[in-house]
Amino acid sequence: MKKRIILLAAILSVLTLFTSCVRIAPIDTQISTSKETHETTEESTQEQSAVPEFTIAWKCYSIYENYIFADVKGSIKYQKLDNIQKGGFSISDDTISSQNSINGFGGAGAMFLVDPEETRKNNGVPVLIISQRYVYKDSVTNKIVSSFSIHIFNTATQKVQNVKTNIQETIVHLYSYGDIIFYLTDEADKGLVIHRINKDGSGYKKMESDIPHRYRIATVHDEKFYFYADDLKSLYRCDLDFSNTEELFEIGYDLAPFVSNEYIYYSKVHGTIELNNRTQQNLYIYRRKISELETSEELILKSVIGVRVSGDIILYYSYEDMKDDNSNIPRCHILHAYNSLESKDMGVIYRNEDSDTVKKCDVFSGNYACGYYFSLDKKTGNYNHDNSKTFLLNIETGEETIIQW
Amino acid sequence: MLFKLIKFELKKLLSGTFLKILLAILLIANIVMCGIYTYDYSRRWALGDGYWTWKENVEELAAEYLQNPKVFIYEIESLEKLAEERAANLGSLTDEEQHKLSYYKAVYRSMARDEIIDANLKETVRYSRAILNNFSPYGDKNQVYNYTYYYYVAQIYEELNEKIEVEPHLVFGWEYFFGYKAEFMLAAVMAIASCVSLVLNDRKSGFFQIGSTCRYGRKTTAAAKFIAMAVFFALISLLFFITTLITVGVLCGYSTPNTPVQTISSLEYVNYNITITGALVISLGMKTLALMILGACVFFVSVLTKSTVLGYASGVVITVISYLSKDLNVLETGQMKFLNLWSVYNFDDFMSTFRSINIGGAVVELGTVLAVIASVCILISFGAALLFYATRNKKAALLGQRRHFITEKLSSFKKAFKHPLEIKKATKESFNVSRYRYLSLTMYELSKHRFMYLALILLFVLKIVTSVNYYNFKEYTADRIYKQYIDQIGGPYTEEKEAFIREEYKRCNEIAAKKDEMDALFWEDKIDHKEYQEFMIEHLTTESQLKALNELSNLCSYFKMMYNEHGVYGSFLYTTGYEAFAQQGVDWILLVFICIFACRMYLSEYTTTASGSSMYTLIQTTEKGRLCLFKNKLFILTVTSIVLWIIFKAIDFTCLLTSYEMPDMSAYLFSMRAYMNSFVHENILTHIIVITLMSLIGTISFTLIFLSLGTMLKKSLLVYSVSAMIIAVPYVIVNLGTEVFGLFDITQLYDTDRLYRLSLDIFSSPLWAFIFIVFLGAGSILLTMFSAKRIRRGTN
Repeated sequence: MKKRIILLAAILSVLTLFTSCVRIAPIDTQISTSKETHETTEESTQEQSAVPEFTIAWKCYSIYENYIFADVKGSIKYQKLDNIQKGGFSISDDTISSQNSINGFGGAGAMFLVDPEETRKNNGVPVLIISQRYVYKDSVTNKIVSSFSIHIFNTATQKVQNVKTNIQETIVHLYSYGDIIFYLTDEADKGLVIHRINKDGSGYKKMESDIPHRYRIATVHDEKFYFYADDLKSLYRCDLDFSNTEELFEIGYDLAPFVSNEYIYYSKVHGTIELNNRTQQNLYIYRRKISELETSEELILKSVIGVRVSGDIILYYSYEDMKDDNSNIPRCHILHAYNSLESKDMGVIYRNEDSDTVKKCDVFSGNYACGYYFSLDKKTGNYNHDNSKTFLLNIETGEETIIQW
Repeated sequence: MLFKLIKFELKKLLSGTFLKILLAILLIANIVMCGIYTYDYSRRWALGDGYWTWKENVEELAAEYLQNPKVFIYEIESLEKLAEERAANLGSLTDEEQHKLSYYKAVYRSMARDEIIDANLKETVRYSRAILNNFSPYGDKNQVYNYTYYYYVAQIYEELNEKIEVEPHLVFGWEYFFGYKAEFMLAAVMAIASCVSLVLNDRKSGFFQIGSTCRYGRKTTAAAKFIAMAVFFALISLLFFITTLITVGVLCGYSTPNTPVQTISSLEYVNYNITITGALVISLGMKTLALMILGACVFFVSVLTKSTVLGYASGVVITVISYLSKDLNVLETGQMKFLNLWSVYNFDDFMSTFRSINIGGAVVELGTVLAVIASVCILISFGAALLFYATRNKKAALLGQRRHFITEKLSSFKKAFKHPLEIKKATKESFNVSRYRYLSLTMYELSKHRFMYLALILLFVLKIVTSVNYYNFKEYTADRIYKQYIDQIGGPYTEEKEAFIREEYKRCNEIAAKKDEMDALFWEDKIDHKEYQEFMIEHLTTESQLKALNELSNLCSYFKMMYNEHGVYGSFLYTTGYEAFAQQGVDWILLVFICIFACRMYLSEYTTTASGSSMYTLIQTTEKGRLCLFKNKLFILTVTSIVLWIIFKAIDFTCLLTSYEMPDMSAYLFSMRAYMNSFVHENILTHIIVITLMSLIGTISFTLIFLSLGTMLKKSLLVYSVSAMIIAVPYVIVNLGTEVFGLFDITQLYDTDRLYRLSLDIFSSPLWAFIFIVFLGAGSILLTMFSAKRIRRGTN
């Protein structure tokens, strides 16, 4: 009996000690409010169609719903668009401060995207697909060797899943479509080569070609894979396993064809233009209905430089606005929009009046566009890229923010 | 009475010769390893000047800083500005200026520590608050935890920042003390050995039977042993702590310990307001706690199983698991990964920042979790000690029965592989003993180990599979482009080849610049598709070609430097095949097989029979049962090892030569930069032959060492455990980041190229590699001779 009492007392004292050192969450009504908000959002997200989305990875930025992700100083960080904070937050919550911001992902050669499919399955908490470059020095020859790996990173659970590791070729583009990841590798005289792999690491396939081409991935739509090449003037289409390839129609160069509202938008070249002391193709944007590709094309926009699409809205810059500009980079100070659903040019939606800065939109999703921030170096007269700043534009309200990372 | 018993147990423990010798060896090993670690790291941070010269210089500069901090900072800013201006014109600071800037920055980081800590902690608080403002938990407990976590992080570091004040002063020595991690392994060995000895020495000596009949001979003795273990562990921790402290102090000296521990850069985020002295006390406490947890587990297993080998094995397993846990990815495990004994033992792993884990959404400090785990382990172990220490094999008998059952099953399985002669004996009607008389001792020894030779078939298959997998060359772009150039300019450096490289560089840049023009011509239909495609193919390779040409250009500078020093030029080589050969690493299949085979040579004789004694007791009474038998076993073992080594190397070389193209064997070895300090006229073929022969000597030495271990230690699990530790300990230390311990890594006996490169890296000469092989070879021969002497004298 005595022993049992002693044992019980010991257990109770341990429990008391334990619970006294446990830190409970401070009461905060915001938490319950946010929970309600998120549950509503979660339901509506799940209600949305589960049609696979074709998502492109960009080198520096990605916008997903209310988040912006950026590769800043060799580390991937994020911000909430409605509550921008200086410095941003590391995607890995193990860091105790922004000083420990290196989270293993990001840096030179890295690309990432927020995968809509995986994020939907993850209750709306972003899941990133990252192609990460690893560099090491060969211990025998001192040669710098690099390899790439593709990972899936869940920002909620902080778990890393390896899709494919030790890829010796340089990955230059990364895309996702449903359960498939596509990527392009630069193989020099063998061209740019297209690969596909499932997210669980199975189903790897490489697009074979007798003649090397610099292939580009245009889009994936309705289980069909659209691609083209720098030296081929046509758009091609095939199945997702790269079989049954068919040539569609002639397209231009320097603009990836994309799909919006059952139309394929593509460019055609109408001569060249001189911009910032460089000769560039004068691109006109056309479109054809996917179901009627043989039907004659329709001209949509002229002299376009840089096009991005999100849903029904197409943003673009026009050469006409910049033809007299002699700065060292395209100033891109007037942003236009085109509504593909209504087939209507919406005109100018943003104008940068500050001639000492360049605020160039490069990534666009939903109501937000973000991109590079350049500031004028008055000594040299050139615009220099400020790596630590990102330009964010709310297209609906016109509100602009400079994010300081 | 209990106190008297504790004293008695401690006396018994300290009177044991084995433990005293082991402690002395481990303390000396700690001093040596700590010394090497400290020397190596302090040398690396000393800006190339030698540690004491560096220390003198920084002390002078520190005095300068104290006189006038603003002027000091101005000097740094001026040098940085100069570097920027020169960089704009593709220039840089001179070596002297760079050296000066490095010194100034190093001193500034130390002297302005207060400002730096203040800024960093403020940033931590700001960041945490920002996350809180940004936070929108999704309702599940994981998110609520995150919120609470950052809430307390902000609070803790804000309060800490208000309390910390640091006077400008230099900090040195402490980073090496806290950075030295290998101590745990040595302390763990001592803890395991002493714990097992404490629990089981009475049973071994036969005193247990007497003691257990006394009034205080059971539970009180068990309690006394447990408490004595705790006291002894505190003593062990203190001894190792002191030896490390003294070693680092002698080599580097220490700055004042009466400053906040946050002045040490690796401990900047320690979330307690303690001085370095306080940190040392806590560190000592944590070392003792880690050893206590380890000891409690080993005590528990030893008390339950009454088995020495199982006790040792449990200790080794726990240490190995701790070692592996510390390398887990924190992105996958969270802070839980720091709940391993390794991290607990090392202050700057466990305490370097605020750590907590998520239990039911609540933030639970890792220290609390550790305290609970430690309490539970110690209580359970103590309880087991009281309950089972004096049990007369009731539980042990059950375990013993299970072990006996397993052994029986194994022997009946082995009996299935009967010797052909034995089978013949069984099937023949008449029993013809004379057949055995014509079998030589060697053949009979071979037949005893036929099971091992059968296992070789499996090993050969495994070896072929692993070699084919490893030497599986997959072409990739950078390598292909580089090889194209080597095909053109391979061989000894000449100025014409350097000129070619420069011309190629220029040509590639011209092609890259022409791209826009060609694009425009193509899209305006001014050139046809064929012409554009030919240009594109040329252009596609320029980026990879430029990278390859950069490397070749760096090689030219290197060859010219070597020519100035030694009067010979290196060669341009395609080294992919050689890299694969050099980086193959340890042949674990061969190593493990030889370890098991060598240990088993005598262990099979020491196996206890039903009569309670080993077969060897009988064997050594026969005419050829001592030295003759030993020589036979040695002969079989050595021949087997050599033959295996030859076959495995043949497999490796075959796979290598069929998959890869090797460089020109007559080229000088120093053509590859890792071999810069090798003998100048040593060519690649000579080098491969030398390291292959070194590997053979290493294999034979390895075999002799483990044969000797088997003859000396006699118990199976003990022998295998010690063998595993001899292999694992230096290998583990190397993987802790201290490459210099590779000089003591016994696995280098196989990976002789790595040993060679390590010797070049640390000593700028390959001599250490040869000394290591000769030393180990001589050591193994001496050990074998010692074993032979013992065998000849006869042993129980």
